[in-house]
Amino acid sequence: MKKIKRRLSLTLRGGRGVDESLSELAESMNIEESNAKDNGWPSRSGKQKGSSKGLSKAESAAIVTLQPLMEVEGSLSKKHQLGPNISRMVSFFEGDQKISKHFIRGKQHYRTMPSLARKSKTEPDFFLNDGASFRTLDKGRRMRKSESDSFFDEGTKASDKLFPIPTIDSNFNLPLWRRLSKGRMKTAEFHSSSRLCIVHENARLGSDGESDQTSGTSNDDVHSPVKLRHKYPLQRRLSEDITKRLSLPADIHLPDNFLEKRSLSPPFPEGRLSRRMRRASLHEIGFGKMESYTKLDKLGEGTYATVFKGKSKLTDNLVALKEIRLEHEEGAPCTAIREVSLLKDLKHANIVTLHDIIHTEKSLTLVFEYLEKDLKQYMDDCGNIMSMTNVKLFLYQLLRGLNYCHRRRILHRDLKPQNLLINEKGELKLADFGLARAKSVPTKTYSNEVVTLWYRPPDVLLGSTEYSTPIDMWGVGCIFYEMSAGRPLFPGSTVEDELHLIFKTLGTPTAETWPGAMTNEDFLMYNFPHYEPEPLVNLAPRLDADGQDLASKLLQYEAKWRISADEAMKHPYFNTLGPRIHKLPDTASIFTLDEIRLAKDPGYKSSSVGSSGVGKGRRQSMLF
Amino acid sequence: MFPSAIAMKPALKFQSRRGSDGETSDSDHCEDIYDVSPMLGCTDALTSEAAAPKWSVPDQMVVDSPAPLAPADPTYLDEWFLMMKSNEVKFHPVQSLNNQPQITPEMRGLLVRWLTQVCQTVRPRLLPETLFLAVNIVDRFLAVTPLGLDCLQLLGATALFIAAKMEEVHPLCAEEVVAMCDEGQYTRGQLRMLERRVLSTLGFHLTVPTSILFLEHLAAHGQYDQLTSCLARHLLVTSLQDYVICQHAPSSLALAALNLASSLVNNMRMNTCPAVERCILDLQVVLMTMMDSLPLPDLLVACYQQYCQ
Repeated sequence: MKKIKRRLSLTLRGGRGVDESLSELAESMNIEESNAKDNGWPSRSGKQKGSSKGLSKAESAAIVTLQPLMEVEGSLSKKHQLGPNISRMVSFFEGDQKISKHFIRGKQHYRTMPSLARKSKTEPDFFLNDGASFRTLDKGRRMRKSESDSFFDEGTKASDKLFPIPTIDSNFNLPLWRRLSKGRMKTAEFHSSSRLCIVHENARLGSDGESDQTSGTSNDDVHSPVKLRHKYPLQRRLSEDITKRLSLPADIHLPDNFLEKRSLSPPFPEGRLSRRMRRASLHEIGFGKMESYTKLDKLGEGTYATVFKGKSKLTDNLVALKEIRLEHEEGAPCTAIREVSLLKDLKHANIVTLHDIIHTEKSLTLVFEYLEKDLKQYMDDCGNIMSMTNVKLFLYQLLRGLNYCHRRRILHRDLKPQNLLINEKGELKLADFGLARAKSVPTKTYSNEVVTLWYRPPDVLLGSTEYSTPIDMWGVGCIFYEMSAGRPLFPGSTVEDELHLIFKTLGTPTAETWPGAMTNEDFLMYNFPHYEPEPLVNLAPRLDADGQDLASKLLQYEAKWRISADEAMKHPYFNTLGPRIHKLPDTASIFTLDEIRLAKDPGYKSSSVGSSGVGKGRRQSMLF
Repeated sequence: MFPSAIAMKPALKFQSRRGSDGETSDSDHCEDIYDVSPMLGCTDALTSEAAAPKWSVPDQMVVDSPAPLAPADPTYLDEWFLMMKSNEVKFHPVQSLNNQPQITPEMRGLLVRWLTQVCQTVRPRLLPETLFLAVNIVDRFLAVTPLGLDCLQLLGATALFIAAKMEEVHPLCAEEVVAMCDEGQYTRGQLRMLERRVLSTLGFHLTVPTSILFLEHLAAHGQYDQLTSCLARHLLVTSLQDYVICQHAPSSLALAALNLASSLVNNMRMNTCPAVERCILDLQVVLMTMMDSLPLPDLLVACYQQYCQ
């Protein structure tokens, strides 16, 4: 056994060039090791695995490491002795002796921590040197010990005591790895011997059979005071493990061919696949690969992304490929990371579906479902005279998608007609979550440079950064008006112009209409003239009384007073859609109901049907 | 011995929700446990209404009294909370170091400590949410991918890089992140590559319910005073370093931290479910070590300065 381990550790340091390793890492990124044996998060039962199993795990799993590579000769042959999977081991660096020096972990050389019971007033020297790590916990003792320590100057703020400023800390500039290994490395021969046993030194991986030994030494292993108290639960857990293990049959080794046969039948009869397995199988089908998609026309281009119409070779469906270039140094842009991570959690009939992500070194491509046009284009195509039925249907779908986001505390922050996509069935979907963010805490502040000017609420225009879900509702009001009237409500060109337009139409805020503005410095500075509100009937004569009531509730100055998406959906304006529409499941389109039908738009020109899909400037807004 | 007195003698007297008697029970308890008069003095100085017991039990967490949920909130807070709670198991790796050949809980602790320091020292300061998300990313990545020890700091840096992109208004730039690490250790290329690997391993799932989110929610809703929530926040941040504490569910940890903090600051506790009680026991040890080095009044002042200013 020891021999194998030794061989393994030799192999782990097998010699390979940096470039080779890098490309291998890149390769292995595309697919997670399908033969790795863990299913999802390791559970506690992972502890029960026998030592031979643990080792095979190490073989099969790819280890990402920068570990220095020492022995070149002979490693390849050893690699094969251990099986093919070991070659998946990834490493970046070659021959960096500096690291290897600090690469030791010997259990017996753990630092010991003064116990909580205040038995030991003395502490090992390295605590003083290694203050950064233990500052929080050792303050009292250190204070007594070294009054002269600059860290405890009288002038130091109390908060600095909680989290010491590293520059004062003598050790902060030390490499973390030096700190990691400090106090452990004792002798040169230990150094050399432990290099050979990087892997099997670790009891966790190699040897659960030796776990009682581990728990025995763990008293010395204790490294943080916090850990001391875990002595008891840890031991208890281990003994539980042992009893469990004892209840298993003595010989659990299965012949190899048996496992092969087993793998023919579905490995998880309940249909539960681990994430890794699922991803691997999806990858095999062709997800996550650019080859699975054909690029057709370009739909638009922005500063850092291009949108193409595409076709999936897997399903033959049309898709929209949003290709984000990663040329710059910062890796994936934060808009892309936010968009993907938010869309991953959003499964709704009125939110655009993210089918796939292709993440390569050069670009990040998001594969979306394809929808024919956006609302802007739809309105253009019907000569800005939409049927009022369709206005209602679109508004309802917009609110429905938004309500789903807001329930998850996700703010879209960039609602505008260009970001609402519509397919030929009349289904409207929210798109472009690049500016969206999950809003977790009511008091957090965000940037106020959000939302296209025309749809930006007055409070944000006046510099508010503490906004919440009502930020999106103002935009809904603007879009509602735009659909009914056929022109944008507040097409301002600057912030001041925008505010001026808003106040001219809805009246200059007063203490009654917007108490918050009375103390807003920006508002007072602009010194707007006094305007009386115009009646909404004049603005959108085609809107019925209920619609006007809803619009006025959406266009409230005071964010708190704006109607929420949930309440807006229950507004009497939507009564004509029938009661069943409120009970639809999230993923069902409203057009699954018989009573919901798209009406014919009065201004619709039939000639523009075919050409509209690839119109110029289409979906350009998706990119900013 | 005074820290253990908290453990031995929890003020388990269940406070009535709008207990007008809270004032009196408050004062006899403090004599009982240990002398907290300096502490009370300092709370008075810091928060004007600290002495008055004013908080309600967050309904979702109390098993004994499943009180009806609050009426529909226009800002969807309660629904969001329940949604987060149902999601937490999915994104909370348990025993994430089981498959690691080289990385031990101690090393993870050291890494988290380094991350905490970075978050506190970078100007402008990073939000606590960023730190918690970064640690979550590290844990989830370690749970599925064996990592070399020499890559551990790079992983920490990458996680912070990604977390800042998610949470911060002004994310960190790659150069900054590389400079934070040990000098000359890593390059931007490596950072980008590991970022790609981490993102694909985690499948871009980055909207994660971390304990600080639960804490903020509970603190905002339960009407704890500021001192309590600051101390609780500090408890959570400190206990991030501890591998075993991180095995507890984030929501239980958050409630436990608040509960413990309020038992110190206001000398009040409420009944909680067993999972939370276990967290409280664990957190108490962290608290004890903190008070061991910094007397409670100083600790409270420090927490207040750290998190409320």
